[in-house]
Amino acid sequence: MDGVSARGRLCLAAAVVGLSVAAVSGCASQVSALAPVGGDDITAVRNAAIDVVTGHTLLVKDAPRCTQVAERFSCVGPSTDGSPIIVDAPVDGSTMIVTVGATVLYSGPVQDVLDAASRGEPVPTTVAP
Amino acid sequence: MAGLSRRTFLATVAGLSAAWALPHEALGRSLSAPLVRGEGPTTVGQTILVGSVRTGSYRVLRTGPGEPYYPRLDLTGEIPDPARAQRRRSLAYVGHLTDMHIIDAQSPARFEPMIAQDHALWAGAFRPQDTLTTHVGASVVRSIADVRVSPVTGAPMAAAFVTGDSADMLSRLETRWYIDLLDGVPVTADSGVAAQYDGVQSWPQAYYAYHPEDPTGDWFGAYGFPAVPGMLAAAVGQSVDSGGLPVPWYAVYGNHDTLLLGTLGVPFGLRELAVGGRKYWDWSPLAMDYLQSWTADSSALTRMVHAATSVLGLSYGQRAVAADPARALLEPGEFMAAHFDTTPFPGPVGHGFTAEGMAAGRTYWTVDVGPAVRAFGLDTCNAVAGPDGAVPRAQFDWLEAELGRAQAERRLALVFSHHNSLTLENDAALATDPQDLVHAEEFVSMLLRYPCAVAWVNGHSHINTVVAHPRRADDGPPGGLWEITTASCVDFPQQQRVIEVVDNRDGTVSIFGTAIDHAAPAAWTGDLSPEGLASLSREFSANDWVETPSMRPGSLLDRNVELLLPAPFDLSTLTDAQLEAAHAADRARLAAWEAGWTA
Repeated sequence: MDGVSARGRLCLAAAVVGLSVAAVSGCASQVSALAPVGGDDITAVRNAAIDVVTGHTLLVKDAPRCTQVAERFSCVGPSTDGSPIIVDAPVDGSTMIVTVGATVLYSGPVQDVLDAASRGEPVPTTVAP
Repeated sequence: MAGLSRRTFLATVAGLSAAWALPHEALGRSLSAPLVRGEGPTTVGQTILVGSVRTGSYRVLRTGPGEPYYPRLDLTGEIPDPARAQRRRSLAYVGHLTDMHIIDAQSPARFEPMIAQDHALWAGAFRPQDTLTTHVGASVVRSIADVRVSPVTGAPMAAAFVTGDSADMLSRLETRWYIDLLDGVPVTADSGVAAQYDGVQSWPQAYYAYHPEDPTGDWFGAYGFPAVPGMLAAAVGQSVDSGGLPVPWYAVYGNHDTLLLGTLGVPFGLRELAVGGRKYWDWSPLAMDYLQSWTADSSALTRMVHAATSVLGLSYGQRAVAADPARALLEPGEFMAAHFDTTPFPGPVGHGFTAEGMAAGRTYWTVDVGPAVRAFGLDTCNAVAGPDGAVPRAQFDWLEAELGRAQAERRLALVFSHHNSLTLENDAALATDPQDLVHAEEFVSMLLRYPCAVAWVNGHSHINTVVAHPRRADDGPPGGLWEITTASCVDFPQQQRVIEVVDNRDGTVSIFGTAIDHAAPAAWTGDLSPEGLASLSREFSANDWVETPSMRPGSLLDRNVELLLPAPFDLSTLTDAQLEAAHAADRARLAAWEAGWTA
């Protein structure tokens, strides 16, 4: 506690309470600004989906474009042979499904794919439901 | 020299020899030789991968195979002609540095304790490699210098662009160190008592921080971070010499060069804290102090509260440190002004910012890179609050007018900014100063109206990402814009990028993006020299779990890429002689750098 008494903490806390109303109004914009940099979650899904597709040695004609609707991310984009690449994942990335044409290439956590890619390991196999 | 006439070539050599004080004959021989692809280390030749577990969850790094260029066809839709590789000519070859996040790790104005409140929310407030950023910065500069000759065409590098977040905590010292690193002025990343680290990484109360002397009992030790005795002393006690960039460099603002922690406004109390003799290790009193500062800002009340808490012994959660006026936080406009305090080489004075811009408060600029390319540097930062950004209407209108001019003058345009298209949505404004802020959709739509705009280069998210923005059929000719987002120097993989625009001489343009690992070894060997510390920093960053390091390298489509698009106009009107004259000037500059800027 670095030499500070419990009474000291209480005194300071009281002073803080006395100022808190003004503090809340004075720094509301600052508190509301406390948000992570935008786009990390949707980028993770996009990157993992591309890792899955390229990990299966498929060429991508148009990188999948991802959008968020409610609590899910979805991505679409063609491979060079024209087959549609379709990606679906909840925003928490717990279970991503990557489909090319009629083939499900991957169903499992986003993080597992990203970890494998960063280690130079093969794309993980589909996790059974 | 196929394009330049003999007479013009001789005159060019004579002029460059005199300008750079280089031996005439040797320069002539050098410039008459054809361009040869550079062999500097890139990730085309070798990559760095996460390796095996060392302890707990902590993994070391290892080298992996190189990654060839991935052709991105999003904007052309066609398999490109393989013969283009034999035809292509370089229009501009540049370096891209971003998000250096140079840190004065002992500053009392840092917010490290806040990670104990919410590690994910405050992730950037403390990283285990906080003391090692100048070492990485120097290693980055060396790696960019190592690839000063293009790995694709052999063209000489013409310029480097730095897209913000160069300082981490709006600090005058951090800003000076970043400029010195790029200029090649030796830096010692120390403040307070000389060569003696004093901060949360040596304080036992700071259980949330990594303690390299003995991490037992802290969060990072629990993860498996190793003990590295002597690391802190080595970090603050050694001078770091980058060697400097070999090309002129140009800078834009990032949110960390604008706001505290890139997010928060700076009340008066924080300015006092930065230069004062107390530093917090506990998050709750730090947060309260910050909140109180907003209640009255620089009023007598704020000063009284600060004095009272100190006199009455109520300053719990903090420790005494050596006060240091050099730790002052930047005042508005000071970041731009700092760029005028620079060495003559590599230059230019101002690094894109101009004296006229300083007088007018204009933080954006334009510069030509050779005869074919024009660069635009924007300030997309919100000076009120929040990490993300937007484009003020006046700046948007300026850029649109400038792109119109570039289109008319047949210049390809590269637009540089800190924020990217996923992070251009910040609406924060003062009620007393409402602003008309342009967001990503409108900004991209405007860029697409000008086919000369071939690439938008940025940072901010610390993730390698390359996105195509196609032009709709109703909006103009086929094609579109490439958006190139480069990672950072602070989070894994600590990669930067070199970018080259080439004319394929078949009606298409290719933009090559090459990911560059910094020069320090992939595997840390126990070395505590500046280069060893840069290597250790990268290893730490790969294990800083809260930053989700495995997503930040991006995918294969985001690292080594050839980005194709239709040429926006007939490039054959640009002669080989024009390009060769520009390359000669750039090659002579590189020769002068290799000679130690003795001109």
